[in-house]
Amino acid sequence: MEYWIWLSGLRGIGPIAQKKLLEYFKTPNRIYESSEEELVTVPGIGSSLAQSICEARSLDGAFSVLEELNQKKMKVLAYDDPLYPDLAKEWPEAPVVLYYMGTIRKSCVGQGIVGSRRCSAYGKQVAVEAAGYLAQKDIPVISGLAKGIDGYAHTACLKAGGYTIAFLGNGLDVYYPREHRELQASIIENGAVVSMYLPGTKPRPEHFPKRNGLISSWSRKLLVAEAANKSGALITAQLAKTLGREIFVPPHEIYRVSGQGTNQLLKNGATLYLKPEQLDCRDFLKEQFLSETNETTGPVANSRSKRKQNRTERKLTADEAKIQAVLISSEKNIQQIEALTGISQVCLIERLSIMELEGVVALSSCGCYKFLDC
Amino acid sequence: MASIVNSFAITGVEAYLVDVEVKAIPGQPMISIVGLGDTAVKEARERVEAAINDSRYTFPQKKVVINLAPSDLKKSGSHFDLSIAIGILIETGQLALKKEEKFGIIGELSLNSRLRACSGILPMVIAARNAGVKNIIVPRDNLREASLVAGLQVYGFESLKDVAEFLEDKKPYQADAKNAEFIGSVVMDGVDFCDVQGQDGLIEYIVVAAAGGHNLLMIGSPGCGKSMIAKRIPTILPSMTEEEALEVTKIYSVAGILKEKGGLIRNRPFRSPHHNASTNSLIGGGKDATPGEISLAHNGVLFLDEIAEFGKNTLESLRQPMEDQRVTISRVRYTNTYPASFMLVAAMNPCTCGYFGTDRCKCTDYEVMKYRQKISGPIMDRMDIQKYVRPVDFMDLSNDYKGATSESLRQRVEAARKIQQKRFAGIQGINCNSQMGNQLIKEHCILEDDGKKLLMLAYERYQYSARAYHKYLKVARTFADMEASAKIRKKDVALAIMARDLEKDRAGMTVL
Repeated sequence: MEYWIWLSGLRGIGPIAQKKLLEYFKTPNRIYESSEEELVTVPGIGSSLAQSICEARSLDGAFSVLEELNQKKMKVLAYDDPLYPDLAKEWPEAPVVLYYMGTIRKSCVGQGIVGSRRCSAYGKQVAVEAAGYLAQKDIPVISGLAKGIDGYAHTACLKAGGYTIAFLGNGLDVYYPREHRELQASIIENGAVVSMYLPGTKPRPEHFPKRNGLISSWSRKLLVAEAANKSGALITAQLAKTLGREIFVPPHEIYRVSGQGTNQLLKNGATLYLKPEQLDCRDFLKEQFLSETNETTGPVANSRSKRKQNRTERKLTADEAKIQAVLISSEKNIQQIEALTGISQVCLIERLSIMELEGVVALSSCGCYKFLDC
Repeated sequence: MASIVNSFAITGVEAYLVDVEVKAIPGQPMISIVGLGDTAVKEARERVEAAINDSRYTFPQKKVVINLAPSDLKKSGSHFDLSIAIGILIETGQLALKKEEKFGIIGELSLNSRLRACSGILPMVIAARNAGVKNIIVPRDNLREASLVAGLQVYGFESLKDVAEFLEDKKPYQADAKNAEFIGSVVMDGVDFCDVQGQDGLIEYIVVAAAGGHNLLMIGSPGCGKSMIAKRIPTILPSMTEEEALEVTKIYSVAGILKEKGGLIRNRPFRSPHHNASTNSLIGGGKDATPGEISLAHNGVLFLDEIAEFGKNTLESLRQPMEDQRVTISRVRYTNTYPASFMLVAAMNPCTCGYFGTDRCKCTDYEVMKYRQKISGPIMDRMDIQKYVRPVDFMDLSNDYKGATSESLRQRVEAARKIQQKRFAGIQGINCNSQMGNQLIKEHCILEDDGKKLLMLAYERYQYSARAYHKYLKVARTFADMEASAKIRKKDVALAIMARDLEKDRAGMTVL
């Protein structure tokens, strides 16, 4: 393993050249032992590179990294590891070494969900619904642990008992963003947190495009829930496109700044996303069937069907019928309901409280009541 | 034999009788004050000497020893001046005491022998009455405050000379008719709940909070009217009893902030410290262990605006006083206990940007929760009622609509309080529903069947803790009391379930 870490840490030589070396020498310790003359014969390796590889011939650094990884209970996923998904290797820049915490399972390729950090309630709803659906189908949810859409996707997946992988743009022991610390711990328990950066690496702007590449290369399909112009999620989408992955994008209002990037993706040929079932994939299920690890996870009822169960069938009272008549067209706040029905606010609260519990109406976070038609 | 004059010293909000003993003994001319007085007491010698000379008496050319007995208790304040001066005049034979009754003497002297007002008059006069002192001499400026105590004769004077001549029976006391009859005002600065429009639903919860003594947290975007509502809460609290009013006035008297107000405080106090307030200013402290905001809000409302911005330790320090309804402050020199039974009303924004629930808000759920966690669980737990304040769209308001007046709301509160007083009669330390423990909840919160069903439904739906379940029961109890219902009905439960918006919010968040 130390040879892998040595290889990934070589200066002036990127993942593409590293893979060329691997192709030629097969194993990293052969690269380590090879002479300068032999190195030069590898296509793409010049004399100066060969010289610097020979000069860096020391495993001290790699051993201290290994020790640190052991201490922090981090694991190494090398390029030749059977757990390293073949799909991810399609990306030419796929790193030869990944560090992770948690468990990488056999079928860990999943569907990516990415989007803005500052998202709207709409974008959040899209991400939460999709992640919840994927969790039910036991399809891994791949995302980047950022604020906003990423965080919602991971959280919704975990809440529904699913498996999720988070790719970081920093070392695994650096908590960024800070408020996702608990989320990160929880992902480690029910999935994996993966990074190509050594422990202790601080998040830097130039790290994130590479992390985005990891997200797209590990995903079979990519859902971009919400993105403004110049959003980082667009980089992920761009890379996914070059890798030939299918990109799903929900439609956004055309006047809304926060949805302009996603609408642009749609214009450029992304698939229109309308329901989570689109994220299903046959070959994935087949793969899972073959791997014989289909643990039977109980179906997790989503909130809608739960509400249906809770809904008590009974005749509405006269006041309740009035309230229903007012709410049926659009959601309204209590002052509006009062003005339209003429029922006092206190009586309304009492009725609405019961109706909400029985699943007839729902209260949104802006204080508006909505009639649930289900 | 030494001459003895009576005065008083203050500890906390209580005062006790002090014998000021004066003895002039032959020796080097000097004056020495013993009996653990602080600097203000020690400096009395300079003021007394100047004042005696100014009043055309002579200061004795002897060694003068003054003892403030009991000598083992620490004493502070400048109000011993007058008693020391009178003691010296008696001791040196310049004042022949003609009155036979016992006199208590309080007052600070100026260098030209005028009497200055001092703080803590009310507890001292009460201590005088309790000690059986029937007559008391105070500076004229303190006459109103001293006159609040019935059962003894209060005399107000303007100078040392006046006091001396009165005690010698040279000049009869002339009562100031204007000062003697004081009637406290009950005007409420002109604020009234009918100014708050379109928030009837919210006001109902505030009335319930006032009726059941429940602490209240209002959450709302900037400018939605949280402070406006909080300012009106004292107007719906039941008026204070004579005893409560005296308690409050005593605290203000000790804190030395009564002078501006004068007379008995009849309005419930409303204190709103800024969120920059230190722990000591809130719970009390300083070198003399003086009362803090929570004691100044005793029997009234402590309003913490922007509660999330208060220091964490400062907020945590409120927990114990809220539980005990009093606070003990220990300093090197003093340990004082002050009453602190207040209704906590707090206001905060729903998230960092302040616009949670609207399109304008771009905070993530994790950020919202992080912001709300600034208020610790134990403090949140003490907030029985947590309501969102939604801004009212003025286009929706029917033009002439006026809400209920504070007066009518207060009558409802008083009616509910009466029921509670009857319920908790004979139980020490419990006056209202919010203070019920688990045992009392079991005993008094009896649900009708359909009410129980509804509460169970909510319990399952929102996955409340058992603790939260009890909170709802308490609030439902107050709702039932508002309509004098013995049992808790379905209606009361329905309303109580809507009393804790934040808890419901928590269930709807996409967080772990």
